[in-house]
Amino acid sequence: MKGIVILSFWLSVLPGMAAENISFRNDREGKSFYSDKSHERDIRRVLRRVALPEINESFKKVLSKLESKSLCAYDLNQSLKNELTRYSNQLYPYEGVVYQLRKSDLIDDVVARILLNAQKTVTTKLVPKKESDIYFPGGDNSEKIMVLIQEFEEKFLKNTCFDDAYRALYADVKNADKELDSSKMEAYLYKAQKENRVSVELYKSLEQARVNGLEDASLSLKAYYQKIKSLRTQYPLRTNNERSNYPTAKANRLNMSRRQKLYQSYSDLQIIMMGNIVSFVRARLEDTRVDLVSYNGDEITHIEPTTPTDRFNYAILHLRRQITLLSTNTYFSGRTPDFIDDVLTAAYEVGITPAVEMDTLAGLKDVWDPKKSFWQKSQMWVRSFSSVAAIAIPAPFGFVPTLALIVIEATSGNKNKGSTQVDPTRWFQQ
Amino acid sequence: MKKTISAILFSSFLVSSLSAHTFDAVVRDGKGAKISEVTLNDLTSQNSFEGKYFKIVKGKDETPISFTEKDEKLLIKAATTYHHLTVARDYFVDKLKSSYVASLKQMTIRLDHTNQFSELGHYAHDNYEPQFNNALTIPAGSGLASRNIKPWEIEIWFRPSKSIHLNDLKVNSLGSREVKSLMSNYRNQIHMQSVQRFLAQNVTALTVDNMPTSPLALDNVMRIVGSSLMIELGYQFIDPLSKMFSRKWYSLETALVPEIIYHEYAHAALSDSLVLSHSTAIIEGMADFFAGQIADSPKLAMHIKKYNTYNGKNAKRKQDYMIQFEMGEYANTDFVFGLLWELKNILGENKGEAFMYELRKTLTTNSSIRTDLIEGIISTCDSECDRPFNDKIRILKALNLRGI
Repeated sequence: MKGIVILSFWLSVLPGMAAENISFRNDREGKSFYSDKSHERDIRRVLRRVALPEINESFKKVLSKLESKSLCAYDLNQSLKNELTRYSNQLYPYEGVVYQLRKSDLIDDVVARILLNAQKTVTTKLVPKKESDIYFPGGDNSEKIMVLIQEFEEKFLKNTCFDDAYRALYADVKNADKELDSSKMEAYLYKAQKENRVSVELYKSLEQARVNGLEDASLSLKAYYQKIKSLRTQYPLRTNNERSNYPTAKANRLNMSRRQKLYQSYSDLQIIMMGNIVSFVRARLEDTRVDLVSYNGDEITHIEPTTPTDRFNYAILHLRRQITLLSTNTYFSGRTPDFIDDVLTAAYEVGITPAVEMDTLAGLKDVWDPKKSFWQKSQMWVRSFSSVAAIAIPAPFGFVPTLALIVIEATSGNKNKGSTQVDPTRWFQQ
Repeated sequence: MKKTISAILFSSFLVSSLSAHTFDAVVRDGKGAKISEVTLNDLTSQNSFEGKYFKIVKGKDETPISFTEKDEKLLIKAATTYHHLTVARDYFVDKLKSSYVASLKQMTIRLDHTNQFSELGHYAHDNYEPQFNNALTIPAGSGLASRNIKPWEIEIWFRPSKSIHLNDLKVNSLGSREVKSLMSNYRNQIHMQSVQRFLAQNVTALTVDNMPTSPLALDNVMRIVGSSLMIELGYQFIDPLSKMFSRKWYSLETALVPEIIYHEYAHAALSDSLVLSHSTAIIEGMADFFAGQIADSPKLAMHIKKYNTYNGKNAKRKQDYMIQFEMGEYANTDFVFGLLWELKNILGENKGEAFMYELRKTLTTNSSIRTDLIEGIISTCDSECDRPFNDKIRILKALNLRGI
């Protein structure tokens, strides 16, 4: 009996003590965000120097040595480069290696971006500085700040990744100098290097970090791994084969994909909350009956059925309401996520929405925010210039631009009902 | 020997029992129409327009029209209706695999028939409001034995054409409202523009020395006021003006318009679900849809001015839903036709056609557009669509855009 208890104990503990297999395999993304001609060109240049199996094997080897507690993009990049020197010493763009790893689905676009950002930071060419160009701010805390920079390696870098360490340094420096900005940080670092408080190599690294704005919140490899692990534990994927191009499409007005934006901007809990909105709305869209019930006290006085399109509009209003209410949630702190880039991508990420439904659900936005045709967009300008032309052109020829205006307004595209045209026969309108 | 003769006689009987003859008929030629030779199949008579599925008669006669009919126009009508009804029947039987249509008994097709329909007596009195410029599909009736009125099967009646003056036409006002609204907008713009021009000229006169013409000069004022006055007069007299420039006489020869023939047959083909009791938006819209499918065109009875001077129907006309479309007097607008055509394109040509045919099972003649038709579409999609959730969303989006 005692033996069974001890055996059970070890059987439950041992798996956790075993080394965790780190994997960044792509399990959701379709066509990569990094798949245009320039990326393909870099891949070809790499493959002329190093074979594809060698790249993949090297990466797997490097990954096998990593632990979840110390996942660093900078270290991973360096280890991979070291591993690849066994096969080729010739120059090739390291970015091409990352693109190839993505093409092989060994990593996804989010990891690719993290690795590429790290690579970009360490390869940033620094402009030589003249002392006369640097304005040192001075102040009571300047010595304290110098000490912080001096102790960077010992205090910050010892047990964390370089980017996290730099962010921690920046935060402490900002505590000492409330008006810290990039130019001041530049001056502090320069002075620290001049006073030999830090080595030239370390100064170079810190300066590269400053130039690339590493102090701004950016997704680290470790943070991403933790998020994805949490999501996959709570929402295991029904199938590992599902892929979609929706999350890898470019996010609106940003130079990153929707999925990259999602993980960079939201925590795993926020992603789950956004995904649940879609789950809720999907159920509303599937409802077969919606009645408006009137009560007087506890007594039902009237039941008003709704039409199918009323139900549809009701579901859309629900969706918009839920998204807006998120901003009042403490986890979102006043931030309203975007339906197309954030909410839908989150729903796909946690497996609530299958890939085949993504574009259809994205099309729901046209109901309350329809895409405007070229004519509709240009109507405002046509109207303005026609009005001026109508006055400026002498009578009776002023008819012409006015007539043109009327014809354009009458014939341009689909009529957008919008909220300004209320149809009293419909219960719900956008 | 006897056996051989019997075999020869039997086979010739078989051949002659379903024979084919060629006649001139109206057929579509691209967008327009022309008279062309067609082969009429499944004829059971050697000398008249009687076939396995259709019997073409004139008015209340029961005798089919002879091939040697002297009235050439009647002959063309007989050939045209027989030909296109056969096309329509083949569509329902061969393409849609309709067992109901395949089991329909021989239909009597009445040409140049002016009597109104009576559910009891088959025909209303000869003098009671004779009908023209129309076509009608009547349900089967059990007759009235006490009055020697025999039972009848489903029939299609084609009225003769008659030129009717514009003033005697009863049209719904929906179209003219849109035109008036545009004119009102234009009038308001012109008045505003005149006032603005006058004000701009006055401001310019105050700020600029030595202007060539004074804004208050008579010719300038007359020009500005005159242009506004012209538009105002045009707006106020828009109805008589549009009548002045419109076509005066309207007529419709229904038996010579292929899509109308298809439309009427579609009523018969759908009568297993959509009872032929009265005209409603749903029953007319569904018939229009299948007429369009058979004709392979979203336009019905258009580009055939020789036989139809009215407006036809166009599935691609952009129309938003109006509550008036639910009313019987607006049953013949093309809103439902356009809606079903659009939904067919959303689902795909082949899938959409089969879908619409299944849709009829969820509808009745009295179904409303906004509730029953849409519910029917959604429930049909649950069973017929490849991806019900996706397709339903796309359908509902399209319906929402139409203001339903």
